[in-house]
Amino acid sequence: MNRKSRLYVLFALVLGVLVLAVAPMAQAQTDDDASTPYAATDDEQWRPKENFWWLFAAYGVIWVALLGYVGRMASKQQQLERELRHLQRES
Amino acid sequence: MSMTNRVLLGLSTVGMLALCWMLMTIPREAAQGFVQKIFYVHVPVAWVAFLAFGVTGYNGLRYLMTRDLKHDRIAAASAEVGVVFITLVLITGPLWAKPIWGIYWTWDLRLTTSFILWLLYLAYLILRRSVGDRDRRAQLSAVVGLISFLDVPIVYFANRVKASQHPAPVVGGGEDSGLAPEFLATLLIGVFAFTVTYVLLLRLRHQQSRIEDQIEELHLQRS
Repeated sequence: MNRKSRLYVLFALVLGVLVLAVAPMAQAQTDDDASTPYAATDDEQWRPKENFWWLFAAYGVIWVALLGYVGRMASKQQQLERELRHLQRES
Repeated sequence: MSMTNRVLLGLSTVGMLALCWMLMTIPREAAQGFVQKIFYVHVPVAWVAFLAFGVTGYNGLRYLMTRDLKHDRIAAASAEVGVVFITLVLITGPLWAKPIWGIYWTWDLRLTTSFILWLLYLAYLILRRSVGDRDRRAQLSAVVGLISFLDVPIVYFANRVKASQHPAPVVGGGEDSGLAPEFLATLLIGVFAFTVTYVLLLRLRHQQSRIEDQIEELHLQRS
């Protein structure tokens, strides 16, 4: 693994450690969750099922778009490699 | 696939699985219910878009200083990945807005500046396709990339300096802001997962750009 690759891996690991370090700190952040804009609820009566489809659509779009982009990139990569091999053979 | 890319793919997969696990296990938010869970992808995807445009601006500047085409390739690759992410921000935002606000879109400052950001980087990509000469393309792109980045802090501060339909910031937004601990942990896992995914996509796109440059070079030699 070259120096640059090691830097990328180091960056990813630092980010991971940061997440793991901040998460427990967040536990002690506040006891008064109800006063925060986004607070958890245990109210089982609150079941807006119609909203589930918006959630499904948002997550669906994310995964489809990312997988589509990766798929497009993979097919372009194959095409470019073919073209490069062809040009190298000719020159 | 190189070892680094495999490691990044592994980290990305673990991050995404952890995010999915958290999404299934965390409680529903008190006011919005299920639909608030869009927050855990909407915000990380926006963060990644900002990061991507920052990388484009930085590498544009480095290109102008060094004239090394490597920086131009990184800037272009990052802009393309950034456009994918900002597009996702502009899609997931309205999908969240409709059930909460009753409308998909409103021309308030945060939303409008985000839309302008999308247009700016779309223009950046179109510009790259329309200029034939490699050095001139790199030079123009670097300038456009740097100027376009000025919109990123405007988007970020838009709902901090002016009351907006868009919710006030919940992280680093002052006294009334804040997240329940389990929500913050989920958000951070989302940020981690999408950031690693961005780095992986950037590396793959950059490797592809190198091949494109080799092809362009061979075409130039032949003509």
